[in-house]
Amino acid sequence: MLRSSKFKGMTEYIKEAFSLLLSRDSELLQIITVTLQMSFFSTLISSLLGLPFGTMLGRAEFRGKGLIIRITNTLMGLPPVVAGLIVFLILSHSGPLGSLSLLFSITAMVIAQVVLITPLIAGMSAASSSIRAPRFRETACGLKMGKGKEIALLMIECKAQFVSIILLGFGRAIAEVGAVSLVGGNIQFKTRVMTTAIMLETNKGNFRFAVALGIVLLTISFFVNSIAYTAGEKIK
Amino acid sequence: MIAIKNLKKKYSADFTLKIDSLEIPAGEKIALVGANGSGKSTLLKLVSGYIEPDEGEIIFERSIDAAYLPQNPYIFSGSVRKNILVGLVKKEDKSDSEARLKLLLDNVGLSRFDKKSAGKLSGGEMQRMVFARMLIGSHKLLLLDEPLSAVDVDFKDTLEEILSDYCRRNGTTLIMSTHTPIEAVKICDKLIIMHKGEVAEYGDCGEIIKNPKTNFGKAFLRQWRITDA
Repeated sequence: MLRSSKFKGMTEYIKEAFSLLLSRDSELLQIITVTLQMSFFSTLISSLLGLPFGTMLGRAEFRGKGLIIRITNTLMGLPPVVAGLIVFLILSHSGPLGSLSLLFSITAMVIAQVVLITPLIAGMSAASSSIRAPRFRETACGLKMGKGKEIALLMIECKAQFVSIILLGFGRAIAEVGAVSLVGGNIQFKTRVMTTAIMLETNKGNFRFAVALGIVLLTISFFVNSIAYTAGEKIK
Repeated sequence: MIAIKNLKKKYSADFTLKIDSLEIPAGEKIALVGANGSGKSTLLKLVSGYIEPDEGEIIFERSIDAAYLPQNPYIFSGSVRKNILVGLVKKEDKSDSEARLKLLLDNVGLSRFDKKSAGKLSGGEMQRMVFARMLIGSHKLLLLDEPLSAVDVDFKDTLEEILSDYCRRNGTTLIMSTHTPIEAVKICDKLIIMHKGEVAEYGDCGEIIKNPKTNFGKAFLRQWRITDA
């Protein structure tokens, strides 16, 4: 099914890639499904954790806020392989969560992605909400809103920025290689995602399949961006 | 009643608000006046609870329904209607929210902007909108920081009347800062003249205007061109 090919012209690869896509190759479909599953759930969980945390961080004034922001910003640049290694050690048989046997599963990949993306979403949403926070907080205090309602309203006010932030998180999830290959193991028909497959096929010299995956990756990114752009324009 | 005792708040490197004693009886309407940076806004922020004092205390029934309008209030995204309705916090006020909203929109001249995006209003219209936001609920204490500063001249009289009427109907204690003498005298019973973070004069509007006790009070009122004559 996957046969190695000699180096060919780029146009020819693209043509072949499209014919592979149209042929509904079972492995290709499996890879796309796993990639979308992993990216969707990791972005969802990271957003549910990161957006409220970031909003609270951006809104609040307290001693030590600067330190928490610096830690969050540092984690935003966490190298994926380091995140992967940490999750690997935690989920490995001798690790604290080894008994759950999650290593080399989509769940493990989602966990690793959540570790990577949550600080990114939290940091960006903190920066976004902190711009509005001073005037917003004073007005909310004047209207005697409860803290919960105030945070919820501030999140609604930041919704257009949050769409871009979620998109950024999704972009990082779908494009990531290091962490997912460490904890997922790049297992065929199980945990192989587009990025790890592109790496593997390129190393094998199977450029046709690698280019096809690259095109799918770009196409998905384009569609997700288009949907998010339209949504962002509507809620502005 | 609001009682302020030995209040101290360092707001910036060169400004400290310092009030030894001040009592504001319930139902009074007080105008806070003074030059820029005299401490009017800081005092309002302290009474509202938005900032905490460094020393001293502000004693009043915290459970009473108070509302504070900052100098630069936040304008929520969405319609004028949404921006005004956000001022309804108490459950009992929400039961007739539509009637309250309609009446206020009529009174402040924003009926035709009901569904318009608040961000598209002019500065004066926005101020009328946040004014309506403050008055849509029934509050026993209103703290307003220059509520009419950007309002068009055509609407000033109307809004002054609305505010006076609101306070009368609800028995509301009003503390508002202003730079306009006529506003202070028309709406309020009492005057506080602030100077460099301290209360320079406090008393009935007429009394202070007739007989200011301090040199600063005299100079300030001269500047205002309000004199006994």
